[in-house]
Amino acid sequence: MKLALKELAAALNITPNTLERWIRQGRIPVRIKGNHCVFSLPSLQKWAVANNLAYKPPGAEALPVPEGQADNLRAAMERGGLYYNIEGESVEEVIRSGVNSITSFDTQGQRETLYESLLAREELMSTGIGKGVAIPHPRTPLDYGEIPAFITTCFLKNPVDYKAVDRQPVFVLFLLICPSSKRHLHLLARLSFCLRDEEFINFLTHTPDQSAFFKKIEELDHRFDTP
Amino acid sequence: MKFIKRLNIGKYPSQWIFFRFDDRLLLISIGALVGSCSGLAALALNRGLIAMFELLGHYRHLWWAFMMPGIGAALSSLFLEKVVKEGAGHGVPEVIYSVSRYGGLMRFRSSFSRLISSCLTIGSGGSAGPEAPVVMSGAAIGSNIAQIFSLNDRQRVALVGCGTAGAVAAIFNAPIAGLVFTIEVIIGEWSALNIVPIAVASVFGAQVCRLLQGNQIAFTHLQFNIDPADTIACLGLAVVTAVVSIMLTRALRLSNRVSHRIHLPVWLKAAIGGCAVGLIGFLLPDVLGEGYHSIQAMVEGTFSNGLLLVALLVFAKIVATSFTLGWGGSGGIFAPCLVIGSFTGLMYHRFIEMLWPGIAWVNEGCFALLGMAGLISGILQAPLTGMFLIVEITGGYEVILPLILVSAISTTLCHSFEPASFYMKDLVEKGHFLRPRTDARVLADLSVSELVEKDCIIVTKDMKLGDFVKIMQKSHRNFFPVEDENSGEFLGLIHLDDIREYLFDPLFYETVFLEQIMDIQVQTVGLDDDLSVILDRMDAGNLYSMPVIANNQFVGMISKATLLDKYRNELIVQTDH
Repeated sequence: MKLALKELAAALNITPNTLERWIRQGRIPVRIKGNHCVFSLPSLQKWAVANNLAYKPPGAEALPVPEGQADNLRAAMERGGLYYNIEGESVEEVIRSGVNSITSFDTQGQRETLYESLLAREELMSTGIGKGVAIPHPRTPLDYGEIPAFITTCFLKNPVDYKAVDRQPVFVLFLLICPSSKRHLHLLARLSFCLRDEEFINFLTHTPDQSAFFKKIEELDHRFDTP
Repeated sequence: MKFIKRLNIGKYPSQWIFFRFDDRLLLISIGALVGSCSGLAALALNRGLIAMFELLGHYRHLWWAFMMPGIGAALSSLFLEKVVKEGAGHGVPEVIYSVSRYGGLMRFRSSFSRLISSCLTIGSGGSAGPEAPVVMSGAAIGSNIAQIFSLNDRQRVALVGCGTAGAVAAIFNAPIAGLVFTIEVIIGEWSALNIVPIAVASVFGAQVCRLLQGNQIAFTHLQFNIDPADTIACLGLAVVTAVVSIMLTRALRLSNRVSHRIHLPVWLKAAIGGCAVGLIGFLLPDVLGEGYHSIQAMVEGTFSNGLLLVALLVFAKIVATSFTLGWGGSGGIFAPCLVIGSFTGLMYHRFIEMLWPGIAWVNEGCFALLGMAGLISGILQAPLTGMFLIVEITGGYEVILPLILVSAISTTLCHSFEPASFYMKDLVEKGHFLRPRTDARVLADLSVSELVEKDCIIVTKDMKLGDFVKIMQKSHRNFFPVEDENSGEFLGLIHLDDIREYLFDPLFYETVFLEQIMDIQVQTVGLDDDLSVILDRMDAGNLYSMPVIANNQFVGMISKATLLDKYRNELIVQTDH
């Protein structure tokens, strides 16, 4: 097999300098011919295993993007859906209605578990973060199987006293459901970036329609990604 | 033609498909060639020395004969200095240095330069041996043949070993000693990959010599009947040889230091040293030359001088050797060691005979043999070389028990007084002694450029802390180099630990510039710095990372964590045979 020095170094995950030295010192079953490294793949692989290195053919696969990194707010919100006129007069009732509107779950049992864990979290401390917004979420990730992270947005029919930090009644809920803490933090960071924006809060109070809402979220996603 | 192409036979045998991935056969066959060539080199020096002795033998009785070693040493020094432009020295440390630092790379001219210069020094009567020059020559032959075949470092080192082994095997007619000396002293690594070609080269070196010169054992001896009393007496001899070894080592280094302090042309110094040797030789002719004839007399038991004279000879030979080698003559330490060793053995024998005349001691030749082994083992700190060499050059296997004792004890004692052997001492002091599979070796092979991490985000000195905090969020490192915007010059380093307390106070964001919080007294390293030095500095300063700077520009960071990672990899790769 024939590869350029740099390619082979990358395939072995070492620096080109190291590879060049190893070839010169005769420590690796590779030789230089012109500008290329020539080697037999089986013997190189055998050597790599014996020497605690791994040979990954160049271009075979890029490193997978770390979990949660590729996701953005709009995709998560589209998965979760956007609902209007959610009914209820208390925290329990609005959460119950919100959970019932989630379509990602197949069974009632899953909804029940989620509802209980959301309430448990609210008892600990309200997720009403002020300015009329609440982000109900389970304290620890629940086992939902293969369902990806999602955010269900619920505009309430009537603002509810949510025991929020600023005592203001809550008019919108973002149900944040994630399979892992890492994704949770990833989406929470993006959401919190949006909610710090006064303009966005103002936009929410006007109960935007679906297309306008997602357009706005996409714009904010973009702003988050380009500092 | 097509067939040959299909076989993929390139210009160089090392690229033949047959040899490409398993080079053992290649090394064995080239090793045989190298062994034969260095055998021939050894033979050439041997013949040259004999011719010189015969030529100059006629003038020995003249009054100016004491100047002959001086003239010889001066000529040899001039030849080395002006003609081939190599430093003086006996050769073996140079070979070890080249093996440990440059993968056995040696110049072509080294393959003959020492032969000529040592022929001049020793032939004219200087007190030195022909072995080290032959070793250097054989090693250079091996190295150059490896370069002709475009072999890599590991293979080249094996061939340098082959050259050495062939040379020693030929000059002593002692193949095992050649093998053992090479592995123990020159290469320092016992692995089958090295031993096999070197053993073959030893055989070829010795065989070539036997073909052209006949199979002579250098020193024939009488039969020895060794009693337990003799074996016990050997313990004392071991101590005496150790003391003499240490004296010789120190005397050589002392005379080297003295001659370094005197500012004269090298050839003049060599001449002075040679004349001093000549004067000593005028009184005690046994110290002149390589001295094998006196060894022969001692081993055969026909050396008639008394205790005091023999003791005097031990010192005289030490002084003569120091004057020859320390002042710029060219030659090895091997033969003088053998001579001094046999004098020491003889002296010890005379001494115990005087103390306990009633006991029937074994023949004095036996003690001469043991003395040689003790000296070689002590000076080289290579007990196996001492044992095998003496067994082979005397054909006296019956002395093996006391021989092992003397070699082992002498090596151990010398080691406790002189931790590095005579050959290695200079190398150790300069930090050039890098045995395979050692920490020093791994650190020497790794370079800063292989370890530097370049994923740091570079910031400028005019940046506000608020902007920096945003950049910081995207980085996964704790260090941020600060550069001058225009010149790209490295100004300082920001370490998150140092500024953590300011990071959460928004008041600082708009008021503090990075220039104010960066560390400007940061310790930096260059791309060519030695890793052992860098590690020492890290340890001294309790640092885990240091910035790498080249031409005032930031290159990257070097950290202990990465170093350990690469170090381990390197260690695995280096020890995998």
